Amino acid sequence: MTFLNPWYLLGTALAIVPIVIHLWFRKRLKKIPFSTLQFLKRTEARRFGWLKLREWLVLLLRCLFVVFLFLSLARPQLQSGFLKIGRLASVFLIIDDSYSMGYGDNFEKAKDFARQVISRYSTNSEFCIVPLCERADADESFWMTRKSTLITLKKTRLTYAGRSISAALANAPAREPKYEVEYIYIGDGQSSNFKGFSDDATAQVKLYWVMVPAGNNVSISRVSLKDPVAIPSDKYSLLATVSSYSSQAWSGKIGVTSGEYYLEKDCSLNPRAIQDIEFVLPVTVLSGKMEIFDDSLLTDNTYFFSKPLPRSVRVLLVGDSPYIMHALTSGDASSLPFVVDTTTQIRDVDLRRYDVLILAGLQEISEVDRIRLLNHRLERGSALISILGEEVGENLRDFLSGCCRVGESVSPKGYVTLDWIDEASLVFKVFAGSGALRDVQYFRYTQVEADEGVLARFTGGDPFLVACDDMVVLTGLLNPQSTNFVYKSAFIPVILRLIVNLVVEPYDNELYVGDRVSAFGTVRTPAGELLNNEDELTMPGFHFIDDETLCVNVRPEEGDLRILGSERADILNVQRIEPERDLMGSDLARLFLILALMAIILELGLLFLR
Amino acid sequence: MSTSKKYLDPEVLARLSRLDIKARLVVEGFLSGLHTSPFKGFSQEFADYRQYMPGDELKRIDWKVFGRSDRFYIKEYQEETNLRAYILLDTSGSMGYGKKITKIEYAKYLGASLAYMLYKQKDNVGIATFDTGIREIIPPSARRTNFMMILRAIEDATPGGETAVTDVLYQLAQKLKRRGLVILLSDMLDNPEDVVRSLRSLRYRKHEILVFQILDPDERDFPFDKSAIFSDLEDDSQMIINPGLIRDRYRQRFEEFIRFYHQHLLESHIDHTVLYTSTPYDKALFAYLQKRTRLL
Repeated sequence: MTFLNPWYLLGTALAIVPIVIHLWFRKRLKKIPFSTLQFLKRTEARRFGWLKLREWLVLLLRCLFVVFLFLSLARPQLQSGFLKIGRLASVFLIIDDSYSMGYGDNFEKAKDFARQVISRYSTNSEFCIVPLCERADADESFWMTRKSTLITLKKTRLTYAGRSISAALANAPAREPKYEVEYIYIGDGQSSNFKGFSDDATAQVKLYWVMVPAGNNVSISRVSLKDPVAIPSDKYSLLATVSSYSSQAWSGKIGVTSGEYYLEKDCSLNPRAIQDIEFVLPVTVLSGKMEIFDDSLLTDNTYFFSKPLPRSVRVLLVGDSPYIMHALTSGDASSLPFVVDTTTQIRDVDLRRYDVLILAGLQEISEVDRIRLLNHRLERGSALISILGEEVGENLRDFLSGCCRVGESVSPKGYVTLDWIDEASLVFKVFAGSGALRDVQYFRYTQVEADEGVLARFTGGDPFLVACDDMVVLTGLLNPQSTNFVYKSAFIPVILRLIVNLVVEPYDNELYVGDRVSAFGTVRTPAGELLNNEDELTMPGFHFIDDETLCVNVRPEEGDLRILGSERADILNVQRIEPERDLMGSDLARLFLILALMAIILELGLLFLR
Repeated sequence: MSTSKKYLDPEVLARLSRLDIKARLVVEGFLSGLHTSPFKGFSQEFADYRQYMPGDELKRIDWKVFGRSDRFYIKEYQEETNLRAYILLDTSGSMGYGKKITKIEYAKYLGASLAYMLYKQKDNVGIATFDTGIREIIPPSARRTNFMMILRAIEDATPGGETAVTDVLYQLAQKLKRRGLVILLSDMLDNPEDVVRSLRSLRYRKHEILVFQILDPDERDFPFDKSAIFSDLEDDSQMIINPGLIRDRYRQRFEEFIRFYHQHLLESHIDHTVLYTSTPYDKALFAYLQKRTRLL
């Protein structure tokens, strides 16, 4: 048996205090000569025998109380297999300060375990303590004494960010360690923390993982538009993805708040289930927060969102295409999001006015137009749809070469049908499994080759639709002489989704804790602080840049409390340490504390016995 | 309280120095309160007539009876009308207990007073002092010198040693050949059964016995309040006692103890009087006189 705080053993000498007090008290007692005690002894013989025994028992229990108390403070330890007491090593300690450690008092537990681990090493050992989550203001790591390590540990606080253990391990001190390095990770061991850990055990360091119970959690892992390219008139659908990382069924409420607006729904989740909850919201509600009530991990119960909806699109239709024109102008004119102009040539048109240019069957463009189109795309970022005709001139071919290589026009025997569409793409997503694009026939088309971005192919494999960033190439004309597609019910939706998909802005206003502020301006945090370029976002909530709103949320994976399994741990050369068994179990402090309490309770019991 | 009667108060008496004076003052104070003198009719008294037998002294013939009846009759008197009294004074260590007046002091004054009273009544009075054994013994006599020796013996008595009433009474039973009045002055803090048995043995020898059990009020009330070390005056043994915890039980046992003596001694026709050191002496003297009246 060894002692973590051996100097407390000196305190056991204080066991003499009750004896001294007993003797002093006895000396202080008045001495009364009495005629005879024989009479008292005879009448109270049994009772005095018991009182005398009780007196000695009480004294003994008081001494034992003092001894047990100081033995408990001295932290007696029984040797265990892991982390034998007094080892000399360079200890690289990773403390999981990620948001998921906010479950219950897990973070405090982790710190307590860390203290126990540290105390098991020799005082001459050196330590390096690294929080799992990287901070912008983090100091460079270095080897420290035990005392400094404990101070650093005390200062460690919870963050909302996350980082992999591999990244933390890479943050090793510059100085060479004095002794053999032992790597210890103390945390809940979310699977996501072990990303990047090599499967090759021989190539990976041996990592001791002191396990902190991960607990249960239900979180909003994502809030998204149900159909990002749908053009809403008065309402739109927002999907909240709620994930259960709990082994128990959960039921609660989920609500959307935006200013005065509030909408709430009931939600029930099976263990480990993921569910999308749909909210149909007015188009005026574009930003707000989605919350679930109630769950133990609080911050991922709230998800801040701000969603740009497809807005009014200005389209320039170059060439003659009545079917496209019909697609863009059909329906109620008041709710149409398109403003369409037509022209036969682009020479005299101010292209800056348009978001989308549609080159409908244009055979050739002049050199000047090619340069104007290129400049227009580069400077303004507007989109372009090129519908290839029977012939494609050199300049147009050259202009399209950034997206695909245009070949010859093909007139197959009979027709070719649309054989494959990319159902994952936003354009065709809504038609998945519907059969709406079945039997789309083409009698003539232009062969193109594209390395990537093909969203639809004919039988035989020739591309029908190629999308490259903000440019789309359709290899066949949209008229009855070339295809029956213009008669299909899916024609107008496909054309509209194609155009909207090109102009929808990326969701760059949704960020996560731990992301860096980009160079475009000064950000004001929810707490009113001003962040500068390259500062780290540390707080979930709405952040503001001028009149723009940034939504900062906890990374969804932080709410995922699934931990590394034992089999996977073996593969990764991670040794799981259970604190109760490997740290706490060998600590006899609690036993002696209980014995001390029992001694004092027995003493009180004896004193009350008459 | 009259001047003479105040000396019946043990505390007042304790302030006087000479024992003979104390005894005299007690007795006189006591007698002054009586309506009739206890000394009246104290001479030799007529017992019976019997016929003259050859060998009888002629001077003992009652000539008046001869004149009336013409027969010789001899007038017989009680052979010994004076009382033979033995005062047994316990001088064991326990008798040294007492706050204002110790039990031994009380017993000494009472013993002296009784001796004085007996002496005045022309009774033969002797004394024996004892603790574990008989320390001093003065045979009964009605002479003044004897009385003075008794007073000196009483004066010299100091408490010490353990009480062994039982053994002493057995020893005395062997020594007191002629029957008489035995007056025991003791706290009798000994085994009650043994003490009663030994007193009965005296009683079987035709002795009349008068027991004055002298105790201190503290022994009855146990008035101590704080925990203390109680030490035995006889054997120096010690005990830490919290009086508050045991007082009720103590008093109960004490009453049983006294009741035992009273009951068993009365059954054996032994007079038993409990005297506390605060009790005036007249109670004891009354008890004595009642006893004497019954005896004569």
